[in-house]
Amino acid sequence: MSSKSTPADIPQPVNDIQGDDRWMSQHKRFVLSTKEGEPEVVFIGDSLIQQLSQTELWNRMFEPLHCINFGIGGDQTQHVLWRVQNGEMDCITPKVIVLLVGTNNYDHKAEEVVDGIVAIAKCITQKQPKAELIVMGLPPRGEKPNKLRDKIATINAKLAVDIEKVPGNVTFLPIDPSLFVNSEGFISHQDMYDYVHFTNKGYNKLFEQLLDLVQDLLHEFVKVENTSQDTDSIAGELATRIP
Amino acid sequence: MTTALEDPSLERHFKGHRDTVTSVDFNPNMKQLASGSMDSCLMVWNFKPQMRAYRFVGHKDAVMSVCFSPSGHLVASASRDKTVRLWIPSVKGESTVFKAHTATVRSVDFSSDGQTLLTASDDKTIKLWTVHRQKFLFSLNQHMNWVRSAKFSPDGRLIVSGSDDKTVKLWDRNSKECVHTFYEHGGFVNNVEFHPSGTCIASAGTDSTVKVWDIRMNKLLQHYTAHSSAVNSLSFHSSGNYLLSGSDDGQLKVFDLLEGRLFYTLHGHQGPVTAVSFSRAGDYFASGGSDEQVLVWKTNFDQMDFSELLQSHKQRASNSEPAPTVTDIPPKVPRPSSASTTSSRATGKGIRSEIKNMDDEVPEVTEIGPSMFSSNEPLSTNDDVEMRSSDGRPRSAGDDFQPKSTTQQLEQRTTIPPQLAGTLEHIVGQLDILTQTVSLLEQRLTMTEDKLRECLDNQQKITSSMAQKDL
Repeated sequence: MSSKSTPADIPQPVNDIQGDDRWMSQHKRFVLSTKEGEPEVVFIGDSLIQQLSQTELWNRMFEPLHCINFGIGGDQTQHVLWRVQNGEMDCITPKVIVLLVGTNNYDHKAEEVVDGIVAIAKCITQKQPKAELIVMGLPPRGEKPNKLRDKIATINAKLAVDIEKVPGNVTFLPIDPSLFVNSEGFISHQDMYDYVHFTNKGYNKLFEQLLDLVQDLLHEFVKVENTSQDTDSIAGELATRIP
Repeated sequence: MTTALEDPSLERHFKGHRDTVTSVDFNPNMKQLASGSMDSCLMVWNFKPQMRAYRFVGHKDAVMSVCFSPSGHLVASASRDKTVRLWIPSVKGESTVFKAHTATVRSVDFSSDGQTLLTASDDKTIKLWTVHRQKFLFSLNQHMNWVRSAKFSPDGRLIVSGSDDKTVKLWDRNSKECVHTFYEHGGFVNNVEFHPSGTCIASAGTDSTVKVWDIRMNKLLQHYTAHSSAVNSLSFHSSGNYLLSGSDDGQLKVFDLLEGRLFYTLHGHQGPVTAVSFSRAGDYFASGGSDEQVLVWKTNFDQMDFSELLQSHKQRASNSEPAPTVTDIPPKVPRPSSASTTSSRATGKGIRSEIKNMDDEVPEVTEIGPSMFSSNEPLSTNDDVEMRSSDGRPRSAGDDFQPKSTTQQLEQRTTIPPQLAGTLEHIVGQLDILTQTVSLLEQRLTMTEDKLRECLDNQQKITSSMAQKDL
């Protein structure tokens, strides 16, 4: 989506090549929502974050925590950096911020992607010094072992080191690739239906650890009763209704 | 005196807040209006044109809710700074402050005797305090997320609360127990209110719905989806017949609870409407929005000429024969304004029709007016359809009115439009039917008693004659 000459750590908005200006519409909507809502947890990143808001996990476990989702599909590090600098971290006072970005930076080398992510982390901690920032490691992709997986592994390794150097409340949450990659090196479509985006099952695996961390940081625990309310079918509704 | 049903009109327009208005409340003495805002100030506006408004500074963070005491001598304000302040709304602006919760206090309410204060907070608890010396009484701890709103019932025995855990809970104030939980699967509950009769509650949700629940039968009575985004605030009219709502879609809507449908849509704010409130008597209502404005409207649509109606009923009572039947119902006499919305204002407790239960598909007898027996059609056919008016009403200051439409024309009126006359006739018809029913019941009771007396007498005769035979 961006030209080769744009570095990963210099903020850059997305150009409207297709002609419907969707990226800017989403960004503007996010900025508006910072003025209206009172979120305690902010999720920002690319499509992996964006699609999370559509899952049942989000409704059940994250919405009660007053979360807001600023993910835009296809975003690279420079795009998220631009968004953070242009209003998406103003006006709100969240307690926790979760960042997941980098898998779309096809034109950049591993080191450059890490620089991009670190730049975003620095910008966020400057704008929201009181919030806890969680930087997530990139999940693996592709059905079989491939060079993108290797690049992601390099990024994650370097990120673990570099994030420690960022001043402020920043934590790196590593992703254990064996969550998704089996012993033969294959990723199942049941976890990632297109070998990069997650199914409900995949999200449950990926975010279980994150949910624990977020709840810890918020000093809040969503009670166990909530998780048994399956609102997908009316049977679930009837079963959980207290007579 | 002829008063026709009129549309609400904008009366006053108060500017002065420097951020979103979060809450509005009328002083029961009708001389003042209090409003709270994100700018941390409480404003008390005076209705007398010459008098200035008071701005009370003291809270360190946004004021989330304001409430006048029933006597009008105090104003309570709840704030994000976790405290509640009790102010005397005068030029001196004295106040006392107490730390009520460990997180933002979202809502504050006085009991109808003015002795107890109810607060709800993001710390998931609801607390009760004495007004005198602000002593903590007890807390209600069953919600699992922010409690956005908590109110006393009119008799003070129950408390209703709405929370981000997607439930509306009903509590018994004396036993301190949660007596019922209503599940609001659609979204967070922004506001809850008690119906003036105390038999129903309404809840406003972030899923754009307004729901009315019967708390005696614990079921959903009405469900309005007229708003297109989160509903922030609700207020019942004192008669219990109308419900006012304000939403993020910038509109104020008035719902007719007897008919079970939208009555008016009002535009006056630029941006979300965050607070609405009827005055205690119901003749005015106020609204506040994120445009920092507070608007005061005159209700108008609840006006009726009760004295004329009483006279007509007295006439009817003196004319009726011992056993009235359906054919005895006198033909409608043209009356300019024989309107009754069963408002209880004039007499205290008039005949109060039940709120229409929209689950019931069977049309109730009381809904059909006497002159409708020939046509045999109920008056209101489309319950959920939002009505749009396209007549060229003169608009004032950006307001847009949606009058009720599609009521059947019963008789020609010269003084008021036929549709309104039809509606008035219908409502009076309902009352007539009720009166007839009651007198019919009385007749039946008398007949039953006479029959019983007869049977007893017969029995006595039989036993006495048998006794004689035995001798």
